[in-house]
Amino acid sequence: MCRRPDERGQALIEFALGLPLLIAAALLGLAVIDAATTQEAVETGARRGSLTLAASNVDVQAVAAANDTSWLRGQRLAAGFVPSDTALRCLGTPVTLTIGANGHLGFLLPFQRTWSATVTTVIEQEGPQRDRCAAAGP
Amino acid sequence: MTALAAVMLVAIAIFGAGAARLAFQDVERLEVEEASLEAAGAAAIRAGALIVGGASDFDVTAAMRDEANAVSAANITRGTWQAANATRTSSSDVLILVEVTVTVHYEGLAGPLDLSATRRAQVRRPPGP
Repeated sequence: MCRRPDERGQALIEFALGLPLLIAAALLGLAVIDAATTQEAVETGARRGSLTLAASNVDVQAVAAANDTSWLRGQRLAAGFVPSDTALRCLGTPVTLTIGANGHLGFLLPFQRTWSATVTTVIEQEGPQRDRCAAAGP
Repeated sequence: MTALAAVMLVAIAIFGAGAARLAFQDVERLEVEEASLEAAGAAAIRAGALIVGGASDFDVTAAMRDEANAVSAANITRGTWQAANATRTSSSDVLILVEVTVTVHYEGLAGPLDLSATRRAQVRRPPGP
């Protein structure tokens, strides 16, 4: 069936207007999936980091363990420790670990957001601080 | 236009399913790690108590294995637990060091996926007189 020239023009305009909307919706959909997966990943990463922290008492090792989460690989992680390992942390010291990431496709969202998770753990092995803890006494 | 929209929907669906699969795999890997750590801790405490109580070597090993099996299975998603292998050693300052390897098999969105994790726990010897 042949279309009249004005119908072909109408279809072209619809396509020209619709394509950017379609692409924007698709990118937004991908970004939302990425955001949800990143939130799940930072929670997993924070739990994994807290396990390592409890057994090592070393912040860098905890961040490396958190970064071992698949979806977080290649992302820049923001990690916070309260207190950090520059302070004295002995057996039983509670430490709060916060892991944050922006997601692989965070730049596609209309707002900047860091997806983060916080876990509190307790030091079970004093690790490199053993001598300092022994000197500090009970 | 309709075909393009369909292609994009399929691409988003594939991306979403892949992302969910990775997320599930990470959660399950963490679950195995946590279960092996829990099992090692529980087995070390149980075996340590038996050693201090003067139980025989055979009884200590059997109790340690039972504890490792029970605790790891209880901390893993039902139906996925395969085995827990526990071994023990000791030294001059460590009463017992237990190493537990937990093996699981997952099906579903994340699977088929075979995972294992090994963790250790120890009980130190009490200070001498």
